[in-house]
Amino acid sequence: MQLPKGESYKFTSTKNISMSALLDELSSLDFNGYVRLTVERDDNLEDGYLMLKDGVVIGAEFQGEKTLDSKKALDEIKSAWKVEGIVDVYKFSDFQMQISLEENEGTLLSSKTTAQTKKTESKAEKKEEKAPVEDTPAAQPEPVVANAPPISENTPDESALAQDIIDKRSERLALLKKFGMAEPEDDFAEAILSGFKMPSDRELNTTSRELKKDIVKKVKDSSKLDEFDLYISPAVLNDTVEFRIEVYIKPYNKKIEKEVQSTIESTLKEKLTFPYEKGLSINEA
Amino acid sequence: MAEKDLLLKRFVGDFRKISGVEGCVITSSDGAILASNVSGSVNEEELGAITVFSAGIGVQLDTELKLGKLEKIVVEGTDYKIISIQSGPIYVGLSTASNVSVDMIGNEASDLAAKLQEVV
Repeated sequence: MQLPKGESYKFTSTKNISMSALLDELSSLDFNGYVRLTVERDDNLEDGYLMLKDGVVIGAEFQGEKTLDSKKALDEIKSAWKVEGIVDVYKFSDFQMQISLEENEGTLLSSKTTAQTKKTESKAEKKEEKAPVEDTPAAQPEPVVANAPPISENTPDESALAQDIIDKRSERLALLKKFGMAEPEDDFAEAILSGFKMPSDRELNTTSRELKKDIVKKVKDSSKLDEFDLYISPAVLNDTVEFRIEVYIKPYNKKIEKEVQSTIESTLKEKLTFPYEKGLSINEA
Repeated sequence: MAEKDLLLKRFVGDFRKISGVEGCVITSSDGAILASNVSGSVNEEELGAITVFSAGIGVQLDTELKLGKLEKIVVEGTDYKIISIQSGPIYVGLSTASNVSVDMIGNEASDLAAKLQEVV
């Protein structure tokens, strides 16, 4: 699997927690991230990866003698969990989750619906029995996704999501090919991403003021307006900064609206060096 | 102990997957190699010795000049780097190409040290 590192959430061993107990815990948290299991069998290190979205296992890969994907990998991970090994759980931000989905479509289980049903059943059983969190390896219950259904049981939404991921990757590869470029390696991409420094509140306020100044100047230079009011409210989200921009203009018509929108977008692109999103509304003053 | 061995083996294996890393060793403070994963061109015993030796110089500089806490020693040539990191009870040594990010490796080493404290 091609996965960002993420933030370390839990580090334990297979003798301390069963696979089902861990997955139950993560499902109750609507966890986004992945579980990495490392075991040694026949003097070989083997790695199993389970990718989770909203607490549900959506992808699996097993790197052992052979590399296995999705359902086969999941079965192998269940089997490997019986051996003494180490378990790492890493948490993803929304952005990291999105990248992981795009990069690993080949490992997706496409079994969300039944997995979620099982998850609910499992929770209900837990409430009744009040089972301990830690199980002995010999008495492991079936994991949450153990009986994943065939792909054909997907809901239309899930199929569309999976298709969307495949399309986006194909588009990107075609674009890279067109310009004779190779896909960057993971460590290179990670080094670039780790270089992004999100601005502090103070820097953000300064940036907003400068943005406003630049946009006002550019709009006044390019469009003849009787009135022009601009309000920028920045907000730091997980991996991005959201700029809510409200504009009031007079006279108001579609042509001027387009000009103003284009000026604002080009200024944001030119001035901002960190990941950002914008919410723009242009109204009549 | 099995967990510790697994963690160390996985760690050196992970580093060897990074483009440009030719060898990775983990040693104890007396230079004994705890885990290694090196390419044919790297001698793990030599890399282990260099790692502990250079980290020792760093510690001595720190002490003599009262510079603060030592993080890592980087010996950089035109086309290579030797990176030596003291992280908790262990020393991590890497032989790499010149374009490998020292910061990324330092972060991973800190991560390993934190996990080692949980299993040792």
